[in-house]
This record gives sequence, structure tokens and C-alpha cells, in this order.
Amino acid sequence: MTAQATTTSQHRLTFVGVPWSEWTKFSSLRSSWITLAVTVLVIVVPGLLVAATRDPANSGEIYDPLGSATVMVALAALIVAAMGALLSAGEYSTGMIRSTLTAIPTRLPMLLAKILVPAGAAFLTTIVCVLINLVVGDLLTDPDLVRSDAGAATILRVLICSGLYLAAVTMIGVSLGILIRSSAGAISIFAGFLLILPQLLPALPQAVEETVKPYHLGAAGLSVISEQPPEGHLAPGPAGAVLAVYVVVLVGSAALRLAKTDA
Amino acid sequence: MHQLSFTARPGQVTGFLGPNGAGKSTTMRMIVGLDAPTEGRATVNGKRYADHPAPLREIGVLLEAKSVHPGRTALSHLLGMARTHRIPRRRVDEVIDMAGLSAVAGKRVGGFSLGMGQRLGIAAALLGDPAAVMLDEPVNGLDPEGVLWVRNLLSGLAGEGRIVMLSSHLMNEVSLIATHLVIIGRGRLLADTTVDDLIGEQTTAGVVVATSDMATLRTALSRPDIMVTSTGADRALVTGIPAHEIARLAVEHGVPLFELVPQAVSLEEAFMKLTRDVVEYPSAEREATR
Repeated sequence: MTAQATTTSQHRLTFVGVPWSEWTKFSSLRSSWITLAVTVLVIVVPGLLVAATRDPANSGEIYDPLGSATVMVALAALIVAAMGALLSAGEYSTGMIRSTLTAIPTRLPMLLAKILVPAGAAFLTTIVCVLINLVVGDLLTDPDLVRSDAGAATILRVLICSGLYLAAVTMIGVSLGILIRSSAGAISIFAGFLLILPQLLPALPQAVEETVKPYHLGAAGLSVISEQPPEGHLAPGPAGAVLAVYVVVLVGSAALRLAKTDA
Repeated sequence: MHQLSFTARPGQVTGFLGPNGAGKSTTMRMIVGLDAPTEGRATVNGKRYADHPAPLREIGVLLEAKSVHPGRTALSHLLGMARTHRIPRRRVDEVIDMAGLSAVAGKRVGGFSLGMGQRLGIAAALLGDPAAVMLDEPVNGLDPEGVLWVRNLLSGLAGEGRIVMLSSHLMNEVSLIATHLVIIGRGRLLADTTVDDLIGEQTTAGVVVATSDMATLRTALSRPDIMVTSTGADRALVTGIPAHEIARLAVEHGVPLFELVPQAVSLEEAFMKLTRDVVEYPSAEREATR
């Protein structure tokens, strides 16, 4: 074997190599590109439709370009969570995890890279989508429409926070995939938590419901991606902190499970 | 696993044998840190596998055949593994060539046959040009050409001074490739020997003799340590004396011999004898004849 010539002592486990490897793995799976493409469609198509179909003759309402650009970001959370769960739970269901952990036996750097790579992809995709909605939407909007102007600082906050929210949800999806080791299970749990749990909250006593509701993942997400958080929701700052707690708890649990259990 | 300790030496192929459930795969998984031992620790070159700066260069492993995402191509799978260690693309192409996968490198692994999956696993094990190679059931699912390839590859790797270890539950398969044997059962070491020694120890099955003058031969062989069991009109199984001694005695007594066949116990039988009491899932028939 002529191998001595091509692998030398410089080839070892590094902080550059691990994310590079995870990117290679992420980008070589069809499901990654499909989920990203669906994310684009879900955010861009309704956003542009809203912009294009507003009719100035239709009463004297004020059109909110920022609101229509981000109208589907909250729903896209489901898709990026699925993307994250498919990526991590897929390692277990296929047996790939054995190859992965043989190459990265320290495990935690793998988790970090596995979380940051798709989260980064979700962040960039969301930012680009919302920007497309803002710029192209503006061209499509009837020039006679009366528009609200959120101001540059708010637009920038909503833009960045949309990206950060979907990045956070992707991290949660990856963590659930590692905790549950089944993509179907992880996706179901996430969908149940995001969509079904809020429907059940009204069963609680009203005072309790009003206290708990703003801390739900979806409610906190809505706060950070809205120009003005809806009635009864947290302000963007505290809502961001709540989201951070979700991420820390779930990623932490995933890290514990990954470090402690046999692969 | 119980106090399992053995040495696989550089430059030779060590076969790791045991019945199903004996702990071969578990041992290998513990060595690379996939499973944690309940007590004690597994080390590679004195350090835990995970503590090495370049684990893939220490030891290359092939675990259960498909440790691969079926949606990836063989090339992306190997690139994904190589990039963790910043192993260059050139080396990835090298192992693809070596494993004979060049034609299918761009195809999804999901469509691979068992044999192609094994070749991909072996290619992955060799990525880091490791000093030791540890393969779990490497010839499982390979066609004869593939088995020959594994045999030549492994003896080549051992010839370069590497430690080569392969596991199997098929004795004959291993005896063709390995020279040194480690046999375990129920997590315990049963034998640490060589193929030649194992055969040597076990060849006590006697000699089949055929002659036209059985009566004279029986007289010639009438010694308390020799047993002659008739197996036909002019045939007998003789134990307690080597074939060449029988031939000498036959000539001395003027007995014509038609056949003189030493009955070697096959490696498979030797292996079964060793592991009889530790088989995890004995078949009913064997259970009954115990």
C-alpha cells in the first residue's frame, strides 16, 4: 500500500475537520436539500402572494410589508425541526452513528457540529427568504397601497430574529433526534408540542393559562419575529431569553445522552 | 466479558473466534469506545481510543456491515469520515480503488449488495492508514472473489507490519486467513493459540486401514495401547498409533495395505469441541447428545 505518502501526522481530529465533515454529511443527503427547498417555498410563496394581491381599493387599510414578509416563518419551524431530526435520528436508524463516533470518539464536538451546521443553513435560508419577500414583495405591491414603515432598526431585528428563531428550532430538532433516536418520533413530538399543546392550554384555569402561554416555544418565537408582539405575549427581549432556555435544556439533554449511552 | 486478555501481534493476522453471542462484536465496540465496559477500560496503544489525537490512524474498524447512511454515495460517506481528520481526497480515492469500488463510488449506498457494503466498510477502516486493523466478520456476504481479495489484503497489511485482527464464527474461513487464533465463548478466553497448534492438538481421530488380511494385521497391532475397530469386512479404524508405524508393522508382517488414511479432526470440529459448553444458543440436537 502506498498509503504512507498520503496520510501523515498532520491528519488528525480537528475543530476544523469535524464541522467540515458534518457539512459534507449534511449536504450529501437529499433530505437536507428537500427540507431547505420546502422552507424556501413555505416562506417565500405566501409572503409574495400577500404582497401581490393586496388591493388598494379594498377599504383604507394600512399594508404591513414586514408582517407579510414573515407571515409563514412561524410555520416553517416545523420544517426545519424535521430537517434537524432527520439528520440526527437518521444516524441512529441507519447505523451511520457507529461510523461517525468511530471517527469522532470524543462525541461532543460531533454534537456541536451536527447542531451548528444545519442551524447555520436554516439561519441563512431564512434571512435570504425574508429579504426576498421584502425586496421582491415591495416590487409586486400596488404602488397606491398605504404602507406602514417599521423603521430600519425594527426591520433588521425582525430579519435577524427570524433567522435565529428557525436556527434555534433546528437545534431543538437535532437534539430531539438524538434523544429519541427516531426521526418520526422526534418530528411527532415537536409537532405536537408546537401545534397541539397550545390548543389544549385553554383547558387550564384562565389565570394559569395566561401565565404559561407566553412561555410556549411558538409564542416566544412569535414575539421575536413580530414587529409588535401580540397581546399577552412577551416582549422580544425576554422571549429571546425563553428561546435560549429551550435550546440550552434540549441541547444539554442531548449532550448528556450522547456522552453517557452506548451508541 | 470476563477478564478477557490476549495479544494480537504486529505482522500477523489474528483470528478472533467464538460462537454467536460470545462477545466478539462487543469486544470490538468497546475497543473503539462505542460501548462502555461495566468495569475496567479498553485501551489502544495504552490510551483510551478517544484520547488519541487521530483515532482513525490508530486503528481501523469494520463493525456491523452497514454503518452507513443508505442515502449517501460511497464517495460522500468516505469523504465525510475522512474530513474529520482532514485526510485528503487523494487518500479517499486510494481506498475506493483498493476496495474495487471505483465504478460505484458515485452510487447511493442503499443500492449496494452485502458484498459491496463490506468492501465500503473495509475501505472506511483503511482511510486513516491505521497501524492496526480490526474487522468484524469481514468476509460475511462476500463472493469467492471477494473472500480472496480480503485474504490477500489482510495478509498484505500484516506483511507491512500492521496488527490485523478479524472475527468470525466460521473456523474454516478464519483458518484460511489467520495464523494466530484467539477463541472466546461467553465473554471468556477459551484458547490463545495458532492454527497449526490447534490442528496438532486435535488430530487424535485415528487411521482408517483397509487390507485383505485383517486377521494378521490385528495380530500385528495387538498392543494394549492400540485399539482396532472394525468398520467393514476388510476395513478398520485404528487409534493409538500413527500411520507410519502401522505401515512399518504391516510390512514386517507381510500384510498388504490398500488404504492407510489418517483421520484429521477438521478445524471446525476442533472449534466445536472447544466451544461446546459455551454455545449461547445450542441447537436442540446438540443439547440432546450432550
